[in-house]
Amino acid sequence: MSTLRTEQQSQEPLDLIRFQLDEFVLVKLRGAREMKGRLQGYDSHCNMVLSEAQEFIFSEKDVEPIVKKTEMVFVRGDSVILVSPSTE
Amino acid sequence: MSESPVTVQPSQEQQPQTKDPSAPNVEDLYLESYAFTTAAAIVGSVDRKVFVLLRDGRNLFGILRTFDQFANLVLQDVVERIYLNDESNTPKKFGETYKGVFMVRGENVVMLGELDIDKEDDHLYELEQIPFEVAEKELKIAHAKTIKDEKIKGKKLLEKGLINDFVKSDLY
Amino acid sequence: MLFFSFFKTLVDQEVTVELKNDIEIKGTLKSVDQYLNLKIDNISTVNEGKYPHLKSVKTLFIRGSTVRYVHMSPSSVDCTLLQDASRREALVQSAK
Repeated sequence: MSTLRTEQQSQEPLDLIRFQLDEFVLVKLRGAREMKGRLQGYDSHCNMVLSEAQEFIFSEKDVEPIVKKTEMVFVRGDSVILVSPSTE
Repeated sequence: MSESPVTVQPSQEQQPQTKDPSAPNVEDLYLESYAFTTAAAIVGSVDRKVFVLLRDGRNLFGILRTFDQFANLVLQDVVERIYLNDESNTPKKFGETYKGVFMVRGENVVMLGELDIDKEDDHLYELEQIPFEVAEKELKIAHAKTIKDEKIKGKKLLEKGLINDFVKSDLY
Repeated sequence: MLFFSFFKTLVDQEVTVELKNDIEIKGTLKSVDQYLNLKIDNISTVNEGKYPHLKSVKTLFIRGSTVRYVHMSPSSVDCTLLQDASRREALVQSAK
């Protein structure tokens, strides 16, 4: 592994989110929810804006999650648990 | 930060009690110099009838007298009203009581709305009024049930790796 | 401050605010502050009979901390600008 530090090398956790700009991400949220969508913007609080998004609301029962579509949504950072690159 | 919250002192704006009709509207002056501050958002509701929803689910109705950048509020002639819902979550009954002057700490505020005093009581005609003490008791039972249900739900969801943290003080 | 500026560009647009207690409030965004507290005009509640007095509310101040989502029209967002602003904000933050 190279010890050279290039600008492209990730240096802090939030850089991973930066690389996902304009890509699809899966955001796991408090309140038993997940949101999939194209990342349009974020800040250091993990506030983010997603487009072409789908929200999944899970239930404690063994049923399929409720899916809600939304064209453009702002997600408040204090609900965010994790952000992961997503396909689709 | 470009707008320092320290410079916003709403209480000073409220001091002139005698109204000079030629003086510019306080709200307009405010919006001009402090657009996009908490103060600018609430200043228009000062001395008007407002409702405040608190995090513990309480509904307060009163006259907003002053506030600060944290949305700490002082309300006068507060009436607390409890709405009781049926199984389908539509309100059926209400109870209310006079509470007087309240100072509300901003962190407990969920929302604050300015009321249209011509319409504010319209929805009450469809509801049955019951004594406040009775409403309070029923609400206590309802809250206990919510807390119990949410705890069970939270546990089940956690088993599935889903976080649904329910805070007992958040009953709004 | 990025989203503070972002919401300022959405002023006078129609938005739907979903709170952490699941209620949805639709209306015209009138103001925003540094804590992302929102002021909404001409409100209508989307799915809730829980707060019947909201019918008589003209303008509503919502504390930012109780917000879960804000839905908006895609046409009111300049995506390229927002992405660039996010990159710039990240740069500023990492320099701190």
